[in-house]
Amino acid sequence: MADPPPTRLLEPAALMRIRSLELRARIVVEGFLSGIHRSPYHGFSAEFSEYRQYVPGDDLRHIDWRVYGRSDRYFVKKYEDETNLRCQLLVDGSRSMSYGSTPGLTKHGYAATLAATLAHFLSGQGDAVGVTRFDERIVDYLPARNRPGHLRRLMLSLERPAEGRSTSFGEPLERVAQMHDRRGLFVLLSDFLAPLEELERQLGLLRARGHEVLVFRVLDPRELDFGFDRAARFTGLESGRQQFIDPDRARDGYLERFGEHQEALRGICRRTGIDFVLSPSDRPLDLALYDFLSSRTRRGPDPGRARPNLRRAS
Amino acid sequence: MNFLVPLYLAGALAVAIPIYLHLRRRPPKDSVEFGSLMFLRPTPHPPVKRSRQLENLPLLLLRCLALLLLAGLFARPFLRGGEEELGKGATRTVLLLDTSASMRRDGVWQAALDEASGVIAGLDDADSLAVMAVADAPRMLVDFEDGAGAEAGRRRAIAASALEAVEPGWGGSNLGIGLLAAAEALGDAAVGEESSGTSRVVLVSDLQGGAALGSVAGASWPPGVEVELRAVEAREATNATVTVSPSVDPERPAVRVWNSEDSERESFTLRVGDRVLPAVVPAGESRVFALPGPVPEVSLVGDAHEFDNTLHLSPREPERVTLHFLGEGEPDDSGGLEYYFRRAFGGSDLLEPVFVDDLDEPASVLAVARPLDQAETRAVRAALDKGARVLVVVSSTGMAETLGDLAGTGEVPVVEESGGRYALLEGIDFDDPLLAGFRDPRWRDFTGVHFWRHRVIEAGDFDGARVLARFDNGDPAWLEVPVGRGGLFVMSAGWHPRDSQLALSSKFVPLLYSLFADRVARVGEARQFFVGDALPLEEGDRRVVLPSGERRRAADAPAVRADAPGIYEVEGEFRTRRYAVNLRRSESELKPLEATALESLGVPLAGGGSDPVDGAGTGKRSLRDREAESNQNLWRWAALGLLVLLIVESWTASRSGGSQAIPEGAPS
Repeated sequence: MADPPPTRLLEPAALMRIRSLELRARIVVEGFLSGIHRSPYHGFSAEFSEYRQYVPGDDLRHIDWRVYGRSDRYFVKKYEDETNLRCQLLVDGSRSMSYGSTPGLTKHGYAATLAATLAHFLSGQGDAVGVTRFDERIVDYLPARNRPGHLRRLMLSLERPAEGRSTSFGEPLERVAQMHDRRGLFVLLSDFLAPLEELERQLGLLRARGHEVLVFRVLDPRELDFGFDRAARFTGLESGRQQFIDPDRARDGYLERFGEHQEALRGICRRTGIDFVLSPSDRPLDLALYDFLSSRTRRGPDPGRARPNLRRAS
Repeated sequence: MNFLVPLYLAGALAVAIPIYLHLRRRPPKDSVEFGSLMFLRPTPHPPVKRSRQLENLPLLLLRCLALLLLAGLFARPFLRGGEEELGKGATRTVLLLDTSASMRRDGVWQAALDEASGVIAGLDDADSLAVMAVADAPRMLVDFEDGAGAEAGRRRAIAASALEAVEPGWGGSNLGIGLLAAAEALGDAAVGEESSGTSRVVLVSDLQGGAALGSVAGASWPPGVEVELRAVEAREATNATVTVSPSVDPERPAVRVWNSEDSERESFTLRVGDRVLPAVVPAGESRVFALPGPVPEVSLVGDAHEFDNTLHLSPREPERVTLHFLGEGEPDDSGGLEYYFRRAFGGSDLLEPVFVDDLDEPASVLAVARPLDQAETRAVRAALDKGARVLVVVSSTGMAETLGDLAGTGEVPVVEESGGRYALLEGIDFDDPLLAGFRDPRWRDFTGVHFWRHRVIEAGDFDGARVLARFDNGDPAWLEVPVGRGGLFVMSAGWHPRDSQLALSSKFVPLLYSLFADRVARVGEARQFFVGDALPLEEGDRRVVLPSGERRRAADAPAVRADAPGIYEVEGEFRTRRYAVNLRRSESELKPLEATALESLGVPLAGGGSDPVDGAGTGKRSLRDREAESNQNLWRWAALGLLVLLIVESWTASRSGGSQAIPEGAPS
């Protein structure tokens, strides 16, 4: 399946000029929906659960004609994910996320917009969405719900600035795992610019509880290529530490260490069965949404979730 | 070089700030923020010079100079001339004397006179003087020109005799207007004179907190004018006053007793007629007391200052109005016209109707609804000539002759109209004063009133007649016909059930009252006024009886200004109105005004206004320093220099800062 071409409006730098997070999310989702055929996402949540009586306004495609033949009544097949998918968006709120080499476009802004887009998309199709913001601990927690007004609260929570002193995955992920007994989907949005020691254990813990996890690594393009050309005093946003760096001399070492870190992260995701998506903050958001959907489609429902006595709808 | 306010020079110490800032070791110019340094290893680089030295010396000098100039500017620099200059220029003084009611307090007026005499005695021979009094409005007692020709001793005598003649009135303290008038007089006197003499206004007043100062806010003062305050204080601080309070029950009016904040008493008594009511009011608060019944006067007893302790009231009394209805049938016949007429003008709180049957008795309200004989017609004509308005209801075609006689046109044709279909009113002239009360969209709907039958009258048969309403077939319904000084209001249909539903509609009573609005008492008519207000006079008012018993012809003055508290009686042609006049509540606010309140309004107080009583002690030297400063205006040059310096500083700073690269990757 080829990537849909990004529209100019969906380029992050252009998109970030829209102040309202909610509006940004809507533009991405609607642009996405109008840009691709309906079928790619039609199938992924097709986990049949029960019948219900047809009411005018339901999609005719979902009427079960066999049931009609039997009972002479119209019934609609209801899909499990329509009500049962509970998605928790975990957004890194540490200060390193407030870095952005392009004016007006920070990693946190990108991550928040991506999270808002996912929330808008999922809530639009009837799924429950929640948000957890964390740095070294959980800063803000909104449980997964799907009710009027909840989306608005999510947006308000996502609009808060990233002010955390440092990033830690140990405690926040453990707490999140404890709080969620019912299986659900966790989307982790972070720059992962922190030691990874505890990450594997915590992600494994989430997986072991039956949750699905998807990791978006949001990075600034400068962090990927270290494209500075002038020697300067570099200040770490989280630590506040200052170092004199000559980019020409430091670049190779940086890229090497960064590559190692990235590989370690990918390795962790691979081992725990988690999809890893690298999202530079200049990458159009609808592509990120596409990644999300293709990950869901590719994986399909977990074997443990299928109900053998119910037929899967196509 | 001298400074008017040398204290501000201490601000020059602020130059230490830029010096310190320039001494501080600055961070390296290129600074980049980055998400995380975890993948970076520091690059060895040459050590930063740690010794402290001043950076960017020209910029530092510019900044220090700007601060010094700013401090100098605030200190108001001036060049003091030789001592011989000091003697030059006579002082021009306006003595402004507060004559408001609060100056009537015990001892206050005498103290004010003493203070004023002191000012007059302290004048040099060359100084000129004017004396003004101010209460609600300023009043010139002695002009500059009055004393211009006289010798110095004579001038002082003129002013002193003017002081003896003046007495405190009952008005409010409008010190703002007084100060402006005094400043204006000084400004006028200074026109055409080159002398650099000082001008001052000496205000002798109790400076009560209730004084009106609004007019001085933002006013522009002539250059060089100063205001000296001479405050006189009363011995007793306690003051209580009594004012009218709204009351629901007209039979039980209410008064509010106010006690001042610094009052030492809280127990008073209210004397209402021959009854005495206790009134306990804590200091700084007010309480409402219901009176046993309508009374013309309430006195507060137990207060130190008597001037504001009497409240005059004009209780509403039903007004006697004589009415005469010339109609057919019995007054208690509900099918007749008079039955409804009598009920419309029934007795109430406002009205005590007296129905008369004799045309010899003058009637305020006169209505005709039957053919009149010769004598009656003559009597009604006489009333019309005197200015009466007569309501004529053409209840039958037989009234044609009477109508013609009253209008003075001879018999007019009147035809009965009864087409079998009811008529409605239309084209009502709500702009006419008689019907203006119905102009509001809420009241102007007359479509609910059906007219079963009416008489056809042509408006063209009368001279100057105006049709105020028509029926929907085009016939005039209501006509106004001027006759003599008065006029006829002609209705071509009656209000009784045989003719129409008018008497049963909600329009009937308001219509009759608006026709005779000037003859009967009105609801909502103001009867309480304050000293200084103009009392409303109406056309036909004959005379005004003042509280002092003096009678004034109303024709002499279009409006009567209330100069003193009390009951004013206005005798009109048909009724007598009683207006109660009292002191303004603000006149009872005696807490002395702070001089800073005047200063904050921009009044140029002498000696900084720190001690109003000791205003004279500021000395001529400081006065002349001020004058020299305001004439030389060196601070303007300092301000100009400061502006130039700041421009140069910005330019220099932008040049030296321009070499710095904008940091890459700055977080947003």
